[in-house]
Amino acid sequence: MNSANGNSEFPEELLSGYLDGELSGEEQSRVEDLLRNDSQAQQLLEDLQQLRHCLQQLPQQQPSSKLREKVSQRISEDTAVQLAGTESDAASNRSVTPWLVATAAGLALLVALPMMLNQPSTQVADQAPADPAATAAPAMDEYADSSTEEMSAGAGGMMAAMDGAGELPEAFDPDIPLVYINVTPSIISRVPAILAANGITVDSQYTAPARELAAAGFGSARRPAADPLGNDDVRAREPADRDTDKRNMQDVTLSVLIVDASPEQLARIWEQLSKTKSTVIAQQTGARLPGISYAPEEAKLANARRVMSQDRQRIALEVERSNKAFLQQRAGDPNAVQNSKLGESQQALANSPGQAKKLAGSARDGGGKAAPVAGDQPQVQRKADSVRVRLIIQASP
Amino acid sequence: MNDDSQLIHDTLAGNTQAFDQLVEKYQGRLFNTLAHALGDRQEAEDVVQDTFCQAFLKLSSFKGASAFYTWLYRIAFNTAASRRRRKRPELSIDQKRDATGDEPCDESEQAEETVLREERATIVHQALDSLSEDHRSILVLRELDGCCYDTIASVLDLSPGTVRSRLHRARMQLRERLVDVLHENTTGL
Repeated sequence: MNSANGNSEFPEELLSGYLDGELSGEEQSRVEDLLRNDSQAQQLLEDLQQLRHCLQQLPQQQPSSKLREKVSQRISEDTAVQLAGTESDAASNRSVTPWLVATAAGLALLVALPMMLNQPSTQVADQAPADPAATAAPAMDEYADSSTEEMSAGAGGMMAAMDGAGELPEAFDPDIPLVYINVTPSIISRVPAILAANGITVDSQYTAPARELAAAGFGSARRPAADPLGNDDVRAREPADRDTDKRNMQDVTLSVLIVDASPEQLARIWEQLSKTKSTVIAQQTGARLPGISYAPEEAKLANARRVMSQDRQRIALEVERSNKAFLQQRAGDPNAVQNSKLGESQQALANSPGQAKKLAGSARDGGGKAAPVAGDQPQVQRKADSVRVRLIIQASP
Repeated sequence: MNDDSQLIHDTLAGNTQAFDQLVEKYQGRLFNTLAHALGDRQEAEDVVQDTFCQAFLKLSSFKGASAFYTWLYRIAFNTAASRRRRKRPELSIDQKRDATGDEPCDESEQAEETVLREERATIVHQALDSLSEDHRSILVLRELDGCCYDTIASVLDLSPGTVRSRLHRARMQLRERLVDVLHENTTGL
């Protein structure tokens, strides 16, 4: 063996590897040769085996019987604490959880359609005095000048598309309350944990490519009101401004979730999310929910209708595809969303606006008419006191 | 999809009971490892709590490249290291032994062999506690948890070569401290 017996070329640690069965064939042969002739090596190996025996004889340590309970409690507490304590890093944190990857057609469609299909003029009287929805969906304010004709055409056209397709997808169901939640990027990645910690199950999820946000004219409050893919007035601006536009577009994150929750569960969600001062929560459609402001706006509705009149079928297809990807993912294919055309489009947006458009075109060509997705959704057993709610979650830096 | 993958998937879909099952499945094993590696039951319990909370909050970042328990152990040992950095100085050996909580011998079970085994366990604990935490951790992961070198490397963020050399050094140090017990075991255990 090594210095102990004068065989300095033999690495002693090979004996440990031999004991653990972690040697290559050549190393193992070497150790076995040594063990045949070296009594010191034999003794050391025997000691190592005894050491293992001694350690394995140590009594098993058992955790306290309440450990699991404590863990559950800590998870609830930590979720709330982290929500309250992470604002400071929000500006530097741009990463989001994949399943919450935001997309803009989702925003355009799912903010626009429900409001379009509802009749908000009767709801304006309930508008919150502080107007939090103006902050929750800031970019929509930029398009308050749409004409009545556009609004009518959008609503009629979309309804026709939906009628032709059959059953109305839940995303467009005006009877399901729509709640808009605007959070920082660092918070949005924790939304799954917050929902889970409060026992809320996501029944379905809708996503669509971020390029649609620009095409539709929606975006974060910090993004100029223009198309970052090179259309409209972006071309007229300085290159630096265009770069900023693209970065801002990538910063905008959105997720649309359909959940079943009790009023108590929802109240806890509002409370936990509201612990960050930059969070804005506002209900925009549906039967009024307690604990949050209710602020539908005519201007936003007008813009939503204008958007829908422009490209209703394409957006409906995006929603259909995104929901299928979500259902596939939930059924066991973790890459379903990333592998979908949506994922390609999002990647393409980052790499090449032209490519993004091409993908959008191919998606449109292959999709045909808008089809309902409600029939694909698994039946969820709802609790007696639960309500179905659409959550639109957007992260703005 | 194996059991863990399914439970992770269900948790991410909002089923908190699925995560409870993961806690139930791994809490005992993780606690035992940490109690021996840290030499402190209370600290081990706190680390286990921190670990599961972190795992829950970061679950969506788990990509399945390694086994779930490897990922969990990595969080646990990182958490333990962070807490250790904040909590210096360490406990004395006697304090550690007390904190590790070896139960006193059951008065109804006074057979000589039981007493001898308990005494031996105390000596082994003392010897283990006298090692550095790095050496304790690697020994516990290998000998008590039966982790392979690759898993240990992943949990402790080491290269497999370093695992082999560090493990051997840890064994040699423990062997030096337990020479009497080892010789006794050769004849009597």
